[in-house]
Amino acid sequence: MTTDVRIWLMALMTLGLYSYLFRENPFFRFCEHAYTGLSLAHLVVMGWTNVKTMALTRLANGEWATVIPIVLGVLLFARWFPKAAWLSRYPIAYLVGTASGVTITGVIEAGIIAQVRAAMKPVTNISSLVTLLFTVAALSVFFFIVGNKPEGQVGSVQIAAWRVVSASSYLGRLVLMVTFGAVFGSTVMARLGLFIPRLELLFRDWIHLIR
Amino acid sequence: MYKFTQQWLIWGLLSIVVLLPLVKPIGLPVGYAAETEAAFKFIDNLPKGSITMMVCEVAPSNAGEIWPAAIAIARHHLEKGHKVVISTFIPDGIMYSLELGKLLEKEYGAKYGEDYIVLPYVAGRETALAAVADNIRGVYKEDQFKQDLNNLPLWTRIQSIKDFAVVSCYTSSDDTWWLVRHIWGKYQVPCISSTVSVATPDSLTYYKNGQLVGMLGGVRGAAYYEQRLGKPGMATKSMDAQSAGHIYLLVLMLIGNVSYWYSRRSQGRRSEG
Repeated sequence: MTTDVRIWLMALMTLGLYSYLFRENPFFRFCEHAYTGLSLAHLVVMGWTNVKTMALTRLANGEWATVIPIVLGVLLFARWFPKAAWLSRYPIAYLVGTASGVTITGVIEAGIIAQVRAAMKPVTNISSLVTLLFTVAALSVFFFIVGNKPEGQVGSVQIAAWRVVSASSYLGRLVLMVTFGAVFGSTVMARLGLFIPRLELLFRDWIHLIR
Repeated sequence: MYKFTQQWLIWGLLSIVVLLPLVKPIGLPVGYAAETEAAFKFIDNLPKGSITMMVCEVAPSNAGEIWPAAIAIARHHLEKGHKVVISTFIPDGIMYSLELGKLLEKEYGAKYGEDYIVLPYVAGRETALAAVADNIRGVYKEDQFKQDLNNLPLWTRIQSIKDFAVVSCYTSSDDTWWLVRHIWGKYQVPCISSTVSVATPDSLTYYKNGQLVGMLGGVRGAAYYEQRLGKPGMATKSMDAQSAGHIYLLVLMLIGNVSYWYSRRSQGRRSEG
């Protein structure tokens, strides 16, 4: 067994948090509160460091333009005072506007044009054919304009179109189910990926059962 | 009196199944991963002296999955004689960035300022990454140790994001998407992403479209990379446990489905009778 105090602390905290699986208990609550308190302390320190490095230090260095973001930041707190709450709309509008401006240029090229371009590649092998079919099928699931089977006096072309879209939609549902299955499988993999290092800590670093 | 339920049996057995391969490794093979192979080949073919950026978004909550990938790629860079600039946009990332730097010094004798640099944490997540893409010299003036970056020989070779031969990111968040938008989308700088398993299906789309030159999905991707590099590490060791856990869960799913099918069949017979 290790004599490293850090490993002991990590192991006891891990056991404390896992003890919730048995039932809620004082040991778990202690670990939970310690974790929450430490996270909050970390957050406060990081927040203060940001204020210091990005605002106060720059002001001290004579960068007077920094006053603008500082004022906007302070105005966010105006929400606490009903009579002045409207002032907080200005920094929020600025934040939303900046975020939209920064992201939208990248989204159009990388998120729309490149994706559509990739879906329009020539069909040269089985893989690209399957990709094309499955993309169309998955999209047709959301093709709500074609609803129930046409009734009354409708032409054979309409019936045929409805059948094609229905069949495509059915295939699309299967495609979506496979996709969700893959995502769920990945989630299980991720959880195991988090659990294994905890076991390594307990059985290798702490009690040296694993070499 | 506490009652042990079926859940205890399921999760208790899972713990044992996962633990056994850790105590006595089986050596199960890691399957071929085309996206990870592409990442490996891309880095392997970069010329000596290429400048690379590693965006180290590693935190204790995701380290189990992506930290081995960051180590494997950092080792590969140094083995090929590349220069590494380590950056982060999450507060916890600094701890791992410094750890990565220490590892490079210890294993490869890397010199700070010449072979690698650790950049400080910058708040703002996507906005910060976009700012780095647009004007890296405007964002960073000092390194993590408060030294003027202009005094570091490696930094003098960097004027813009286009000076990087590749930008790789280790993340459990949307960083892959941000890389694709701001680094590849605007400047066509090649990008590699290492994500947690749950984000892998999403990120694979970008690899398939050519927006990423390679990808490492979770521990499996890292294990494959370690094996290609010929340096089995943390990921390879935990892959046996991962595979054993998956086999166990597959068996449970099979049992669950067969028993469900059997119970429905029996119910059907009873209602007919």
